Amino acid sequence: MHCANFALGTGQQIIREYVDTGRVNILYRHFPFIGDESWRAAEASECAGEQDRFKVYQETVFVNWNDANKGNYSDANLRTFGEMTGLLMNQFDECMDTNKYLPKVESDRQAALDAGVKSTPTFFLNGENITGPDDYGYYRVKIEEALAKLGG
Amino acid sequence: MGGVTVVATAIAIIAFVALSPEDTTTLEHTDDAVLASSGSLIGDPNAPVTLVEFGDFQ
Repeated sequence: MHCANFALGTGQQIIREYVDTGRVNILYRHFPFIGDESWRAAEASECAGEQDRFKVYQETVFVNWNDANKGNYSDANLRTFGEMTGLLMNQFDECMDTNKYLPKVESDRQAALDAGVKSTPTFFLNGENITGPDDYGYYRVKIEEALAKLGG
Repeated sequence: MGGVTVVATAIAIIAFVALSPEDTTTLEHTDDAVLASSGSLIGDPNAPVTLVEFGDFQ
């Protein structure tokens, strides 16, 4: 499964039923392993996040994905995505130029390695790796179980 | 002979540790303060359930 497929398909269904209703939130963490462009895109998404535009930036990046490490996520393209997302570009440029969120991306990657993550997307619910098929019904059951445990 | 046994046992233990599959399949708890301050959180920071997604944009 590809991250973009999940984010734009099953992920959107989870967001509609559970996130928009306040019952679940999704903490996106970085496990860049495909190449340099993975790292820069991760940093860029965090630079968008500090302007409260993580979700729309992520969707813009995924919609524009077509191949790995072919310049798709060049700095120039990541900047264009920022413009499309309505970011304050001075702030975004400074954020990217100073690698402001590189330490966060690195710490996410280390947490992933410590938890045995080997590919993406990998999902954890209450600390447990629940990664399964790219099927909304599957994740729905897992989420309902987690909500039921809370007595809700 | 006792020394040989000790060495053999030690080697066996090292081999076991080196060869055993990773047992750290759980993710350490992310505390609420980290969640609430994260720019990469989608949704209400106070939602009762958090789904953590590790991703690569490529």
